[in-house]
Amino acid sequence: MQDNLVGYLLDALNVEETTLVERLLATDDKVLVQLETLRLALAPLETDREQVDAPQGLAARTCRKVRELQNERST
Amino acid sequence: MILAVAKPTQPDLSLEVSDEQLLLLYRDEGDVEAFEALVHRYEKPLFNYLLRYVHSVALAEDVFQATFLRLHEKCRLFTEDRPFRPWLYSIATHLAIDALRKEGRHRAASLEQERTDAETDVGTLLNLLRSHTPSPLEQIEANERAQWTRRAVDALPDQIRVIVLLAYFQGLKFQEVAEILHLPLGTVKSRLHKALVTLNTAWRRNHGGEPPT
Repeated sequence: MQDNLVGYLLDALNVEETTLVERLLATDDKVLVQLETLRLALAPLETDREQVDAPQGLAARTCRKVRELQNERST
Repeated sequence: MILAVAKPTQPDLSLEVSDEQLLLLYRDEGDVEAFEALVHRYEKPLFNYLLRYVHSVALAEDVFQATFLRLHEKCRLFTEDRPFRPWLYSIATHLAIDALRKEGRHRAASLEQERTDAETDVGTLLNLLRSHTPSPLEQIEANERAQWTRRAVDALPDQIRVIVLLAYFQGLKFQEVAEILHLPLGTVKSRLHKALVTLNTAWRRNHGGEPPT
């Protein structure tokens, strides 16, 4: 169950699993306590969540390489 | 996601067109714009995943480009019943592993990372000079916590670390992570849980208290 609670906090479960967890949360206080404990356990990761920008023009350079490859193959 | 079809012959390549639809447009009709929309759509998330994986801006960029070149070459193998995102990340992950092997530093931190960290430090200091909220001390502490976390995640065994990167930092579903890594779903879940336990134990040992909330 703890593994599914982590998934619930991350929104990483499928619909059936999410429904199962929510049913348990509504009926079992112990599960609620476990969920809160796991929420705290995610806190260290939260400190490093920021995403950096990709290098300027990365997508454009990649598209150009793919076009070059296409041209090589067609000639 | 649902395909927004305003003009059937000229689909809108915005976010409302699914990844799968874009790849099929490229595969079946040679629609280059559809392929390029995919590249742009994944530029930031996939680059960030690769950067955390390989610890080098230059190498992450190389692997990013190689991933889409491989995608271009293999797009005929894509089938409609298969979600695109796990396939893309699977290609990227395998290429990242190969790239690290070639560099002979599968788990070693690179000089590039040190340079990036140094640049980040300088950037952070500049930001501190420009900003008054939160306080400089709070920002320094937050930066230290983030750096500690990155080192702690990097210190996890590879097979656990990659799950943290995909499930937590990329926000992928457990099922997608299982598909990318060819692992049973239960293994993905238990490894992520184990990672949290490991990180929290290390946090308490290092910081002498509960993680920040």
